[in-house]
Amino acid sequence: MSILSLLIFLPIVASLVLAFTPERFVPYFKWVTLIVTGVELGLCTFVYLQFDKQVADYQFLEQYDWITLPLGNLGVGSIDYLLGVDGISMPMVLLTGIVMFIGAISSFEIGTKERGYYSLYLLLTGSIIGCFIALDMFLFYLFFEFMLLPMYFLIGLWGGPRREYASIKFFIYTLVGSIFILIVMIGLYLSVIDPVETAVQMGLINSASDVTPQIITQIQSLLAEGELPAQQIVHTFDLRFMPDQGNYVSGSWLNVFSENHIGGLSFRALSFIFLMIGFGIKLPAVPVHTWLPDAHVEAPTPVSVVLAGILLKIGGYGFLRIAYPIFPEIAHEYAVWIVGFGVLSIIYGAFNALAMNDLKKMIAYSSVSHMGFILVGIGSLTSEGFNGAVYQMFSHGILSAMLFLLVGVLYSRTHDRRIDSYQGLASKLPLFTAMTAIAFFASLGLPAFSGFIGEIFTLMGGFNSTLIPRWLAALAAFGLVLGAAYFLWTLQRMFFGNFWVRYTEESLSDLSFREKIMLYPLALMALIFGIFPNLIFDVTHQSLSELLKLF
Amino acid sequence: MPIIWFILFTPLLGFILPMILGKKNNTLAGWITVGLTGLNLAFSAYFLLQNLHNPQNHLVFDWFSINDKAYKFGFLFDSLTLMMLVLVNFIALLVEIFSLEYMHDEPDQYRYFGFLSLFVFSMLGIVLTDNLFVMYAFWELVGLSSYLLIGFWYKKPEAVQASKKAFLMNRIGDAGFLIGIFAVYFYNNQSLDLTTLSQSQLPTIYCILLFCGCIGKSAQFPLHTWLPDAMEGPTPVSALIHAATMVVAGIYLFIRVQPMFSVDALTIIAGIGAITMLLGSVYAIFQTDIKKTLAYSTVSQLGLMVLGLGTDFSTFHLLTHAFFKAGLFLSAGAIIHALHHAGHDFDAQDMRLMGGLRKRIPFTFICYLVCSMALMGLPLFSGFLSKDGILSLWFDEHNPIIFRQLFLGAILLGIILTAFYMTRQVWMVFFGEFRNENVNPDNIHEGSWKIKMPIGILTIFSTGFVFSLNPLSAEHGWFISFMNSDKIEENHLVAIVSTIFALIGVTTGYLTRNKTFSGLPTFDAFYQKLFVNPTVKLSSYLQIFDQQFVDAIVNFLANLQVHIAKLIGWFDAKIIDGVPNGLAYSSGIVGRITRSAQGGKVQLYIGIAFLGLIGLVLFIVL
Repeated sequence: MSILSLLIFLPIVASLVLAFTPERFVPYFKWVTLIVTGVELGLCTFVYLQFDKQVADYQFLEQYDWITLPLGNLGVGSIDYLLGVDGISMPMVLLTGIVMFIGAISSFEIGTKERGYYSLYLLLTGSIIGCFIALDMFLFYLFFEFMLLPMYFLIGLWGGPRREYASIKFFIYTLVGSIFILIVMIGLYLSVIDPVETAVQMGLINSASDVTPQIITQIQSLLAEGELPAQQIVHTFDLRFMPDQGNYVSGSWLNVFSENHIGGLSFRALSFIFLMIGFGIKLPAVPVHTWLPDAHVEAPTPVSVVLAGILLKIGGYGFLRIAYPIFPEIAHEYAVWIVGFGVLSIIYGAFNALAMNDLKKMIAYSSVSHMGFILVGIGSLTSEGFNGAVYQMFSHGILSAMLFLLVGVLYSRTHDRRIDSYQGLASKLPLFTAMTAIAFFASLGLPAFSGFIGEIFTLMGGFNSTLIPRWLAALAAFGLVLGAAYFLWTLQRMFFGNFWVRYTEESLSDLSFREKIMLYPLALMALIFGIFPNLIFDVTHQSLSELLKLF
Repeated sequence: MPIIWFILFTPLLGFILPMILGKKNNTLAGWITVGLTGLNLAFSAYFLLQNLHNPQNHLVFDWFSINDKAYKFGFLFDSLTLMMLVLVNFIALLVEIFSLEYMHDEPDQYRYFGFLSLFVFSMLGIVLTDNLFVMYAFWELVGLSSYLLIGFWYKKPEAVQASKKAFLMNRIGDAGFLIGIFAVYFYNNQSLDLTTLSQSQLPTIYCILLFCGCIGKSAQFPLHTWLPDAMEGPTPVSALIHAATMVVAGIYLFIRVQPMFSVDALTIIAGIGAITMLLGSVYAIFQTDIKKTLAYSTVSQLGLMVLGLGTDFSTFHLLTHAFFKAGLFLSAGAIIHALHHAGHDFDAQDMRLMGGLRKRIPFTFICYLVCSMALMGLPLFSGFLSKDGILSLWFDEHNPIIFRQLFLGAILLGIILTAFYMTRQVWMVFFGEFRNENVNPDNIHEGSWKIKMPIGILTIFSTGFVFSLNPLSAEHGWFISFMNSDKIEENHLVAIVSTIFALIGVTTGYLTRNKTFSGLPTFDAFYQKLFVNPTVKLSSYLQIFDQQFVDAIVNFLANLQVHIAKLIGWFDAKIIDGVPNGLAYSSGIVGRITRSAQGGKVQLYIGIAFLGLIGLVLFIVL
């Protein structure tokens, strides 16, 4: 079994094992989870170190035929088990390893129904990784949907007082998004062929390994002339073939030359919009963001960490992996809209964060604001913007994990998250204050921390893009001021001044050892990646510049 | 040239070491910092001597790259850089020595000295870097350092408020600066290198955007309000902020980018500078807090530096101002320190509670007097030389900026006002009778050498002799030759005019010496109403909008689903399921009716069959 499969199946198998282990071993489950996610992190780091930074293409490829169905006049249906990483997914895989490991440490505070919890947590780990390394759209969708199940239970069973509402809202909201993605997926499936498998079907070559560029050109020209017999066309979900317009069946819905329209929108434009909605919910972008604050407020700390740290990034990842390569001309046309929604998210999220009295909600809205930068970067269609967006995803993963852990620290002591319940914490909890200050300043884009590079490069992309009016990007820069405002105001209200708390004073103790080993490495990582941004940029830029050639 | 790395990173070490050593090693922290800064000053001086005759040096290193586009980190050093290096380290060293005593009773000294070093590190970064992107990074770090130091006494609500205000005001300026950087990046062929930039001429709007950075950091109108509030920090920090770091950064940026600026941009900037200068000096008149007067005077002097239009005269005034303003602040700190040790329960910064201090602390008095005469621009003192430089710029008829005479008038007015409030301040603090009843004046004493030595040195540097052997003209002074300036012409008219105006100020100040002015409304209330309150309001409205509208739509849709589901459920139960039920029901009825016909009586069957038969026959026949 190759390493990518191992990444997926190690946690899933562990999850199954935990589910069926006798009751008396339950106290050890947290350690098992910790070890499994630790090994997972090690494997992710190994892949990162082995990753060839000079190559734009997919690496560590792994492919097996999974389902092949002759469908008569509809051709042959083929779904592959296809894995691989490139510069876009590599940072995300690394991030998953980091955040899931930190989340496992944080999970030690879970005291009820541990069997279910750890089993679901590991299942979640496997599906998230799967989502980032699947290159077959069907497989991607499978993992994408599969993530919802553990998340639903993790929020719904271990969450706060309104957990049922929050979990069902999260589930249904995301599910609605997935349906949009599903529709596009089916449309793509009917339109795209796998030229290699088709050649095998037609008997031009004996096996897929014999394929040459000439064969593919031959198949594509036959396809364009409509001379391929329908029974022998192999339809595919393979994401590698979808960006190439030569692989689209002539006259199919999503062919570039297709004349199909609904309400003035071509099917391709519609598909792009559908993907925007689907992944926009996941990101989340304003105005489809309202599930996020609720889910965060109710979720237990480790689940919040995972949610903000990784799950949101799947939205941004989906843009770069699916929507943009497959529909480049539409993305080009709608660039202003994408950036517009990004700027809206930045400003709107920041204003809402400013108004919050619940610390966790404040941070949730700051996530909305920070995810807006990703949209600005992606929408700009520039090298700076794209690289900055992936960087921002990574950086926000680290920083938001840290922020939610910090809220968890306070909540676990007092069960009160209201900002106005605290004053002058700095004199009582110096380490906690120092860590919070670091996390806040890193998040508001202080140089030397990772948030700075992400924000500056996405904004720089937005500003240098010829597709976007300058004032729009300038407006986004205003988000930097608002970001500083809500973070500093919170610092002032909660941590400075004379010490005062609303309820219990006795339970307030400074960071414990377990909290330190989660927070210190995250702070250190934010610093290291901020000072050496090439740790991410070296990985991403080849793949992203390849992607940019489509525009 | 590895020494330059040492110069940059020694202060960083001065930040990290005390932070690691922590509270347990409080006393050590101060001495470590002083030692490291002293070392760095030696490095800088050595470096200065080494490069004295190189016009410009440029060292570049790769930082990271995206595709083929490399983002570099580099050092650029010319005379300006070299001067700044020595200046920053020199002032920082004096401030740190002063702090050893001033902060002696402070429980968190390690934090204080660590942050001071961080401040110096960020400032050196700005000075040394060769491109705007890296400069922006250090620029923000300067903002952070000032936040940490102004809010050092975090239990004091005013200090926390002031630190937040300083950071946010700076962020507003920085946002403009950042947009300016992006614009320049785009305009200048994707390069932010200062060496390539200085060859191009920028559109006016870009110049103004870049200048926004200076507006924030150097407290120019309309973002000047943070600087007076920043007085909430420890006094030595004020000295550092006002003399060597922070506000100087803005002017430094202006000097660096000024060659690219258009005449229109310079006119607007001069306008901003003039407003700032006059505003600052007017506000300085109305203060009763010794530090606030000095703070507003810094605002005013920064305006004057901007009126130097980023030429060597701006640099010169920056240099002389650094010494006399640091001297003034440290002296003010010495006064406050002395009063603090003499008694409690009064505002040790209120000048109305001072007076007659010249007899108690004569050394501080002399230093304060010399530094304030330098600030007023009286002959024989350093400020005179640099102010004359800036004045000569506006006396010069070749100056291309329109309204030249107007600006000249503004500067002269500024000179009067400066002399006016400084004379009054010196009088209020040092002359007359001691006005504080809570304190026995006999308990007021000078501090130790750690307090006196820095002030003494700064006082010496505030005299004109240090800068030019002929203290009435800087023409042949070392500064001009050091900067390779060639623009200065000896102009006796300038010197005479500026002296006359300063003397007018001194005289009027003396005449009104016993009258206190106060109560001039600040911009704060206005900004609060115009910007802060609307922002907070908007945010709470948007929050309501988010919950009552955006989220309500989601919930409405969800509820709609539920209702539709219920409707369908009803339909399913009543109609869909109703049809078979109805059929069953109706067949039941039919069955019941027909059942009665099937009574099991043969006679009835026969009768009915017979009737049926008759009916059939009738049907056929008829």
